[in-house]
Amino acid sequence: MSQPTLQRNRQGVDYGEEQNVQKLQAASRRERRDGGITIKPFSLWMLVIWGLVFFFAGFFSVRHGADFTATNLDRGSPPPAQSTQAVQTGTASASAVDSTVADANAPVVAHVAMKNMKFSPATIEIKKGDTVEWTNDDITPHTATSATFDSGSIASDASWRHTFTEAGSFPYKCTFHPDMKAEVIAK
Amino acid sequence: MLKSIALVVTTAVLAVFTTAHAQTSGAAAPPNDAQIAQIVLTADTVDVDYGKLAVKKTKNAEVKAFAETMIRDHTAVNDKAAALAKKISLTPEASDTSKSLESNGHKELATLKAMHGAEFDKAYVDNEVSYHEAVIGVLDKTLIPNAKNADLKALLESGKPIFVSHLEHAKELQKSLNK
Repeated sequence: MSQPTLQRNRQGVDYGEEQNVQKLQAASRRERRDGGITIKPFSLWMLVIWGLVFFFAGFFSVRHGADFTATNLDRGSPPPAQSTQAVQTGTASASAVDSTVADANAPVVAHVAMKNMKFSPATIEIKKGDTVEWTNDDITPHTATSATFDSGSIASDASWRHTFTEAGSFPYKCTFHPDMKAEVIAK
Repeated sequence: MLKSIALVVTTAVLAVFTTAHAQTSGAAAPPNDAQIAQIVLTADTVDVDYGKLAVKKTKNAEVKAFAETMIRDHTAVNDKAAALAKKISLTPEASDTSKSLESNGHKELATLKAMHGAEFDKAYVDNEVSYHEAVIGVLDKTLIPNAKNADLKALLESGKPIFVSHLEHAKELQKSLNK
């Protein structure tokens, strides 16, 4: 009577031991596998994020004349509807406190209206690196055309931008209406 | 398309003309908004037709560029006027002014068609000068003061600098052709 009990007990102990070992091995296997999985997408995401960061950084430096520290404040004018502009407004509001310092060198968008068959203002002074945006408030199409830039036809209510990367004076006209003459002075 | 519209308009105008003639309509009553809209549409269409003929006939680059601007601008004004008429539910209505604009336009077009080369260029540009002067006169004296609808009045007012610019452009061209 006692022998079978002992045997059963031993068997029970043995069985239990083996089960624990299996669990341990399985856990360590899982850990190794899991580790492999968690590291990979982590670095992949970082790669994507950094890629985007560099992409936008590059984009802004090209677009706004390589002024990397500048906040690209669109001084006194509404930002145009562009996906990249969201990032720009973010920085703009963040540095609103020291805006007077940032303003001095930040590229701006100056506005020229095409209204009643005239460019208004007819002469606009900007800084090198600034952008001029022409908006057609007339019924008829217009152009802003110089030796160095040409908007092509700007329809009624449409607008067109040009960034002046070099200093100089740029007389321009509307090719459709030769009496429409104006000038951009980039300093 | 334009030709067929012109044909339909001409027949309609002729029909109206005969009835109007019988009535001997009261001398130059101020036009209503519907008539003003038609005067604008006709004036624009006539100049677009001159422009299209000029683009086809001229060999002078400056005259061609001017004619292209006339087509572009007067088409833009017409589109705006048509859109406005639709918006304010205005059905353009023929009047003595629109009728005479149209018949004179057709006569002038026939005269221009018979001309060639430098003779055509000069006649076309001379006509553009006098035509725009006449249209600006009608705009100032008749159309703008009589327009009741505010949007229509605003359209006429924004049309004026366009016609003035065209007149200046035509005068410059006239000078260069007469050299």
